[in-house]
Amino acid sequence: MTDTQRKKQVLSLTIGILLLLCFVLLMPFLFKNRYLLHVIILANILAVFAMSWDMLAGFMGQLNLGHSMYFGIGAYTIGFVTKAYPISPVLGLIFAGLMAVFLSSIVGIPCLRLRGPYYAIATLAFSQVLFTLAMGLPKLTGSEEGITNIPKFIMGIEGNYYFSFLLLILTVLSLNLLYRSVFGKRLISLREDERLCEAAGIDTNTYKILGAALSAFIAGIAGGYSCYYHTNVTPDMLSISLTFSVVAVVVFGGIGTLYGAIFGAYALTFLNEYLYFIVDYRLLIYALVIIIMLLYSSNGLFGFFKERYLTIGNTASK
Amino acid sequence: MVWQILLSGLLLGGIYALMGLGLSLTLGVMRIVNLAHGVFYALGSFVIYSFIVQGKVNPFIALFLTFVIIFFIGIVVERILIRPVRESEMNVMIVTFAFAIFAEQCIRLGWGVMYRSTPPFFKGELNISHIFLDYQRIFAFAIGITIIIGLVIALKKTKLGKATRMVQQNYEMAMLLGINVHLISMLVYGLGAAFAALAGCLLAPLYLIFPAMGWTPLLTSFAIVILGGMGSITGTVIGGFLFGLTTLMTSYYISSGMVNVVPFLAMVITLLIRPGGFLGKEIF
Repeated sequence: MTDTQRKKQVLSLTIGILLLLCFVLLMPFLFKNRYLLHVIILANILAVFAMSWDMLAGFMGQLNLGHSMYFGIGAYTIGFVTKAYPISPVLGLIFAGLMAVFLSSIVGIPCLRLRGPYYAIATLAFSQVLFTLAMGLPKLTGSEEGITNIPKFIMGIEGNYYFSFLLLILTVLSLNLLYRSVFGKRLISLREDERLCEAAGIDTNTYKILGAALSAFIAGIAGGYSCYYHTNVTPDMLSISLTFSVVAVVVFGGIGTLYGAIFGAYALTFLNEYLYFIVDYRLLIYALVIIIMLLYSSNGLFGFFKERYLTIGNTASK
Repeated sequence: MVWQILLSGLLLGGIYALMGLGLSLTLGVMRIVNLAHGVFYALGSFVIYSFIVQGKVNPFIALFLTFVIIFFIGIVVERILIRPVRESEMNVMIVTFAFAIFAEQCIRLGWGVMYRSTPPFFKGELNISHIFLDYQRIFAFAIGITIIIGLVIALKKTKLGKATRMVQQNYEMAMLLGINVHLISMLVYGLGAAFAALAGCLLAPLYLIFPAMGWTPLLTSFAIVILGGMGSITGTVIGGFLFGLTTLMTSYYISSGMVNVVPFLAMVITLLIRPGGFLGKEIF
């Protein structure tokens, strides 16, 4: 690919992104459809959450099967804190993220230093423990009902729409920066060969724990915001099915591709909200999607899209 | 009361050992992490429920039939889902996780979400100076122990068992020596699934059954295997008995809702003190 061709592609991509941004900004004025906005907000929250899972599994090679616990702990943190005293929402979100970081270090410090499946199993177990606690301590967590009547911090659906996009864009930008930085490159190298990293002088344990903490931070914020948006927290936010939805989203979109998670989140949320008759079969369909994707196409939807239309960069050198 | 708990715990431990052994086989021989182990337990419970309650089949025949059915389901799962992705440890985990959810949803659609109970195979209980032991538990324990001993003998004495141990020790070398590793993988996976199902069948009359019941046994099995050491049969059996005891003690002294917490704590403590387990060697 020549230099001019490449410049042309970069230009068209930039224009495409700008057009998309304009469309996103004008969306609430173009369509007076509140339900559509609601679905988009849900998709954005799911996308942010899915990207945090993808960071662990797709980029660092650490499978987390209890990722919903970070989401849930963020949501419960907001629930508890706002019940106790009014806190600034932004501070609340950061606090939710920090609680998730705390949780991730509890699981991560003993289990991440081991190679093998230990981290996946321990996270699965710990999320089950938290789910049990959320169900079994009715006085504290309200059991199945959860905590309700949490004050909204942005009134109106349009405000929430913009905020959710802000969250999404911030996540995409920060993850993009991360993956381009030295720190991020080291995280990615963990996926490729851990022993080699160790031999190259990278302190793999610290990197894994820090990476997991960052991922948990993002998931915690997504959970906290979801709690503000829905104005309630239920144990569902800690459940295996939420973790599983995220796995489905990422595997469908393309594992380890960053933008794949957004594709997957939009596809599956729209599928979910507009084909309401499939609600009972939702997880069944997700499971089939995962199995088919893993058996036949490991790159997912975004990988497919990328191969076809977005071949910028080092294809020329290959 | 202490003796009651100890003995009941021992009896429960036999089943836990059987369940853990199924997982230990797939982990040790195939080197894969089988997250669908718990759902085979649930499937076992539901299939035997259908046979006994809806089909009015004799419980013992039902037990045998369930064992065979789940064995074949396991073989099919290994062939279709696991073999193509076996190269990648993470993909195996995701696929088995997806299969677990898939099967759980199938159970939900096929049998409904309500809690059910199965009638016991034997009624009544044994009374040894005020220690009450249900015949059902004793029977379950006896079956579990018989199968474990049978498996150990089969692994030590038969040709197929020797081949299986060869695959466990060195997969590539076994392949080079002309051992049909694919066949052994299928058999081992089927057997692992069938052991889980058998545990599910034997415990079905003692607990309520519901579609999402498989997750606790899955985590318990992992905790047993990690505690005992991956790939070690002795370790797994000892781990199973320890778990039977701790589960009963937790539910008696603390609360039955906290039973989920025990496997996690045991796992974390083992990983902190001795990551390879107490009798195992590190295989990953």
